[in-house]
Amino acid sequence: MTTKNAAIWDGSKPENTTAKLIYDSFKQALTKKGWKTQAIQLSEVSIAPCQGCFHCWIKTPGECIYRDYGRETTKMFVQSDLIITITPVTFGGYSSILKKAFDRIIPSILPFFTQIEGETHHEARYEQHPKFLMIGILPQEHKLKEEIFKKLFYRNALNMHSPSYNVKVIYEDNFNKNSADNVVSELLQKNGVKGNEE
Amino acid sequence: MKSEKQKVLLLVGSPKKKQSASYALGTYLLEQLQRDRLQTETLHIYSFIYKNNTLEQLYQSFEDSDIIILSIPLYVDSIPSPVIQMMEYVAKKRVENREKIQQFMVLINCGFPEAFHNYTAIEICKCFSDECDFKWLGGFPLGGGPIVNGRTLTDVGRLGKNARKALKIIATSIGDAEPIPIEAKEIMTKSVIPARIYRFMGNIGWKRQAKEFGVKKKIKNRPY
Repeated sequence: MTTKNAAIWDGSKPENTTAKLIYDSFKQALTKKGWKTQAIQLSEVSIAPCQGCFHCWIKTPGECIYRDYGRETTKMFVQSDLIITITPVTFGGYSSILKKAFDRIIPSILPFFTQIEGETHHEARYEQHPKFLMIGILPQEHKLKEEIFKKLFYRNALNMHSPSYNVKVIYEDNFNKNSADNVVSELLQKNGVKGNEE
Repeated sequence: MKSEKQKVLLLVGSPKKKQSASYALGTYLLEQLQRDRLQTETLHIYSFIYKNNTLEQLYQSFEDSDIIILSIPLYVDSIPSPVIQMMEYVAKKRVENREKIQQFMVLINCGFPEAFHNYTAIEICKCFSDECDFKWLGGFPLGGGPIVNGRTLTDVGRLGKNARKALKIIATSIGDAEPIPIEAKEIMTKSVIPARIYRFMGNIGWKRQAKEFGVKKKIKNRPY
């Protein structure tokens, strides 16, 4: 029986209690299922902005030249079977905290261009890619921001060659532990995330 | 132009600063605008992110400006994290004071040949603009940005002709205080090189660069 690996990245600020509820709920649910889980508060780790140098493609292939936590998050991304990211929906996109980790993910793909469904994308570096779940948090319903957020996520999932992916936007109004557990349960079930013995 | 003393701020959101396509596009636009005797300023966002608390200094220029031009590269289908950090800061400040009427636009370029990869990022920029109650002038996407890197938009000759034409239209509209016509975006998005040729030449370029660093045979390494 192979133990599955999951990574949970919270891209919110420490005071975001809604994000913490979801983060804790995912941790508990996955641990209960026997998954090995690495859960990170991205606001607490040091990840320098991507310099756009492309050395991770042409000088130190597959690895960023900066020796900070950005290397760890890339490694986590590559080695996980499931990646879960949590962020406040920021102008319809991701928070700067989450985005700094994503910007440093490009060592996990190749520089070479290829065509996927008529569009140019980068070739995959690895054969296996994690399932990808994204949870966006809004204070209340905002259809336009949700629409942009989901579009962004689907573009990312395509570029990251994710085998399966799902995004959910939740609202902070009346959100509690029960709400978090329900959201987590729904997403894990929808994405076929099972226990090691199932 | 309604006022002689309008201030235009160019914010360059690339870590490559003056060597970037973002800088080349933004400065070309500023050059077209300067003919109307505007006061202009150029700032590099990354210069304000590495140090603590200097977004406040950037904001001092931001809040004094009548027109803000953001010129950025596309990172992972959207906006580089330091630029988002700046946007988060500005949005918070604008909640406190949105008396000044300010206009905002974005130029965005990507490494893929197709300009449409930039569209979601433009929507995010518009969302930011609306949240800050700026007057949105538009978002203008360019594919094949690396063609420009390190050179001016004039120096790249034929490869920059569509971008130059579009930026001139944008500059004229801003100068006349008129809406920027859709034509500017349509021209900018037109490829100067067919996508398949861009991919082919690009892939040769990656191999060449890897060879220069002595890692051509390791380019597909899987360290993790």
